[in-house]
Amino acid sequence: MSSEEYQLLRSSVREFAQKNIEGMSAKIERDGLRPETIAAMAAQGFLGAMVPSELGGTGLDERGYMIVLEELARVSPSAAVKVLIANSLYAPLAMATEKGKETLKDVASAKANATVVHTSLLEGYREQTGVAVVNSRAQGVKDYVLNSDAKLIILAANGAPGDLILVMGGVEPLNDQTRLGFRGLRFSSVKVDSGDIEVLGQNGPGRLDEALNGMDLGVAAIALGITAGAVAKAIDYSKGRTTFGHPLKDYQPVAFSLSSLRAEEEMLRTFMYSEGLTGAAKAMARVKSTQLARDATKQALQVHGGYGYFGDFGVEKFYRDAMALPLLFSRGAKDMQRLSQAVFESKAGFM
Amino acid sequence: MAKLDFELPEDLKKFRIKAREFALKEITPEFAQKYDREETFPEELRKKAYASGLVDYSNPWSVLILQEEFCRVDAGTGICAVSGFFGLETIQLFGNEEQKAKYVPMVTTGKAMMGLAVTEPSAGSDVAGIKTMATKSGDYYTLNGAKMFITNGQLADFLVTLTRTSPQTEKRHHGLSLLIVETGTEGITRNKLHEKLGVRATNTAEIVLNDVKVPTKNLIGEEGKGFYYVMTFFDISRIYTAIQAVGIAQGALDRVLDYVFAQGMENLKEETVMIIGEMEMRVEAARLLTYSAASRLFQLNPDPKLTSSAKAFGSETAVWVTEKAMEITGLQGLSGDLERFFRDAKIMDIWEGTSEVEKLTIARTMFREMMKEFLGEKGGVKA
Repeated sequence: MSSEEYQLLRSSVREFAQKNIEGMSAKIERDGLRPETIAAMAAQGFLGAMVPSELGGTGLDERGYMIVLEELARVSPSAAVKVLIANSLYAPLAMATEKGKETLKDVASAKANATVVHTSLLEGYREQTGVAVVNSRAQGVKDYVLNSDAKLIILAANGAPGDLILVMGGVEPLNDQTRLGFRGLRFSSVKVDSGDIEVLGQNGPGRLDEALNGMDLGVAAIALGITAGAVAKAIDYSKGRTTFGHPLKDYQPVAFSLSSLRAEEEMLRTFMYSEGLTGAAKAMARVKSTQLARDATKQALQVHGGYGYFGDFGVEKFYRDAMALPLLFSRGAKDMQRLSQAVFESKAGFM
Repeated sequence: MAKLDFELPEDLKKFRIKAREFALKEITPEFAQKYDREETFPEELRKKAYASGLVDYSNPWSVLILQEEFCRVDAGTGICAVSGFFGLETIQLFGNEEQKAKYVPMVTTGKAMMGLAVTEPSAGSDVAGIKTMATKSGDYYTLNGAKMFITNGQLADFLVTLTRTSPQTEKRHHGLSLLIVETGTEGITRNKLHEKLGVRATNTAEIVLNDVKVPTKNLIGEEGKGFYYVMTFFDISRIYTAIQAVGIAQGALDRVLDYVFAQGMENLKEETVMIIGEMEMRVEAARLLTYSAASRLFQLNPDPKLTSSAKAFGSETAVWVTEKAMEITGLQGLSGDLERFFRDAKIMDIWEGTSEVEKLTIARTMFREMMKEFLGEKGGVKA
């Protein structure tokens, strides 16, 4: 794609997000993403953004995909994460077999909701339950499932290490659980009882690990969108709100902190969208972008004062999601080890 | 040799244990979660806290320790249980005997609740920028205006309300007064505000005052001095915010320790160990700063720069510690108690004066002290 085409893509995603999502972003936090919003996202080709067109997807390249994630996250990080799960987790894992590939067009068209249970790899996971395959039937319960009202679920079955399986039907989400972020998506345990399963490969945890490492730029793009959305809101607010007879923006602590965050945002964007990023560079983007999102959302909320603490102003969701993003899709020390390995050109930072 | 004793006396140590036992028994994780999710006020918890005898306004140190221990278990419901008196010091310090006799006991016994209505939709940090106007005619003031983010707003039996009693002039801190407004009075509309990030059990309301008639005998202190009364009050209330923040930070640290023990200490990496060390370092520093500011206040010799330091440092500590606690506990923090601590902590940075306002107060207090020293007592530099 040419740079004009990327620019065009960005403005069309932004327009879509402003028209279809921004106005209801507070409602999404309360009641979840609505089917018609998801259908509209599918119609734009977002849910199959990275899926090759011969498999029913949009066939965007990585930079185009990042644009979609960033622009959606700018108004609703939950909507962006929905796209991330479909494209960065589900699609690459499902593509391992022909039967898996066949499901992708339904995922891209939002005919079938799909998710991946990767949370067993995260910090703080406590094994309490599991899904076992006995006589070609998958049965059991999986905890901590995001986007859990899915029909298609990829998970690592019990065993050491268990196979990676795709369960097609017979999945029931249990009670919605408390959680910090991405309230537009359901988060709960799921009960699995299905004979309709497909083994996608051996060593399930290893495959999930690869998929998580492979989504550096996807996570970084969402973090950048969160930063951009929060900083833009704070800038707008500080132009309009006056205190002690002056707009907030006239005060140095407000103007300088927001300008500095905007500078970091722009530098990161330039870096992330540059061509030929190495694996190390992608890991750097993930680490720096997720941290920036946390710093930026905290300051953006602070600039809004009491109003920032309420859902109406749409800034507190960024604060929650910026914290939830690395907890659900990054692995703190493990990502830093990966980065350190590249920096030191040998195993480093493991003690 | 002079002795700086940073230990609490024995009776307060014992009181702390009782307060903690009560909080752990009454505020279970399920209880805290329910009120957080539903955004409702735990009235029965408040009643139990008063019935237990733990809430004793005659002993300010006990109120401080109580808030610390309650917030350590859960800030949302914990604050509700003991904040029915919010704003009371304005009456105790500046009210007349009749006002004290009428309003103080009903609040200290827990029979009634009160609130302080200062903030307005367009005036937060800028207190003197408020627009609510009271016009005097005979024995009554007639109030018109709107108040925003008022804690206990919908539940309070009366609100100590800051209002203009004369139009704003060059001296914008002048012409403001405090009135006791009984909430049953005609013309008051109270709307509960929903969807707070944290401390969701607490009641926050918008108050609309439309031709509300308040007897002139409800004026606190002198007309025109309201701004100074409110500032004096903030030097008191900020101590309580500071200790709430310390409680939140300590509670988060408690949970991190539980987590690492459960995970097995042999798996701990140096990064995490150092962060835990830093958490303890910051929490203890915040606590000592708060106790030190409280000690000055309780001896009726408050130091605004110490109070504001405690409040800003405590809040920033609560935010920092809860963030780090989330990082360490990951998925468990995200889906358990800690995520609520993380959300609750952020309000500490905002209410009762943002961290920015606190830092300005600290510096300006120092500048004033310097000027006083430079010009001497007769230099005419006013506070």
